[in-house]
Amino acid sequence: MASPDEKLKSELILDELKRRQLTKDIVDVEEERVKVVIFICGENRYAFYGADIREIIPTCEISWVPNLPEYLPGLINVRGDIESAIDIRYFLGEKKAGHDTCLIAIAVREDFHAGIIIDSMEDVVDIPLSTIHPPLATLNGAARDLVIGEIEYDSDTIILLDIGKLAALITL
Amino acid sequence: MRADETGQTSINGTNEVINSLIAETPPERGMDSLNLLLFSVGEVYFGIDADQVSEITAYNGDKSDDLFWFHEKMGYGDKTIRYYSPTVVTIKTGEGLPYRVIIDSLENISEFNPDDIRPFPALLEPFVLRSGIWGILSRNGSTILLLDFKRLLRQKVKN
Repeated sequence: MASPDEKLKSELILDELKRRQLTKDIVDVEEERVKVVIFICGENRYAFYGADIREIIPTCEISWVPNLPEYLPGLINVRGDIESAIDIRYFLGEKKAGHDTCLIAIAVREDFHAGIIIDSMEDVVDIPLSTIHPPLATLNGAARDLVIGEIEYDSDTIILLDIGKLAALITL
Repeated sequence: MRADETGQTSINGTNEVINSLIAETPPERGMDSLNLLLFSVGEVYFGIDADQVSEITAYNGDKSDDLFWFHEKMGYGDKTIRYYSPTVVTIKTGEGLPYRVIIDSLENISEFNPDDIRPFPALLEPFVLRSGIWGILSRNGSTILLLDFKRLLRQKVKN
């Protein structure tokens, strides 16, 4: 018979299981997470990294300016700050619609500042970095140049767009 | 509208007032103020430096080859533009013939502080500078695009 001070095999096993569980929990906690902003544009859902989106503002007047390309519809005034508006539908191959019911996502990354026209907001979620998958190699269409990955959300695969790629695409 | 002594027409004498203001304006000023001639075409507001304007007359149907409709030179595309009170503005180019352009809805000359002028966002600036548009002013909630006809002409010569 085992002495009273000697640990039972079941205790050893249970301790080991708890230690592993604790380690797993620590691993889970330490896994890097990122915030993503999920929005609707045209007929699809897309996402940006939350760190690139400073705020979402309701529809504001877009002042038309001559000689701008189709994807730059004009200027917006955000509490006195003048920003350019970008119609991202042009790059995503989404149908062009009016700007009457849209929102503006103010995107900022390094020197790049712009108001990106979106149709509506869906959600802001924290996701583990590991759940961002590389974009499908077979992904076609105009959006391909802007995609950085894909995420699962609400039983749907959502294309994660990169503000840096957008900036590079339209900055002369 | 009424005809003046030179046979040109004016709208309630507004153009005479503006022309007299242009004549009275000293040609060189410091950076402490900027006198802008304000107008709008197709519901877009513009301001040009009054120093660049030599004459303003109401449009009388002149079809001269050297006279241009503003929207045709400014990339309005397929937009249908209606002129409510077309006015001919003669721009001093300093090089050969003056530049004559038909604008609309002319207002008076207003003085602005250059500190209130904001440059275009970096994303848009390369596009707008090609058409001579170089700055932005806000007034009563409206955006005024500042236009330099000399810059526009220089750009057209380059192209």
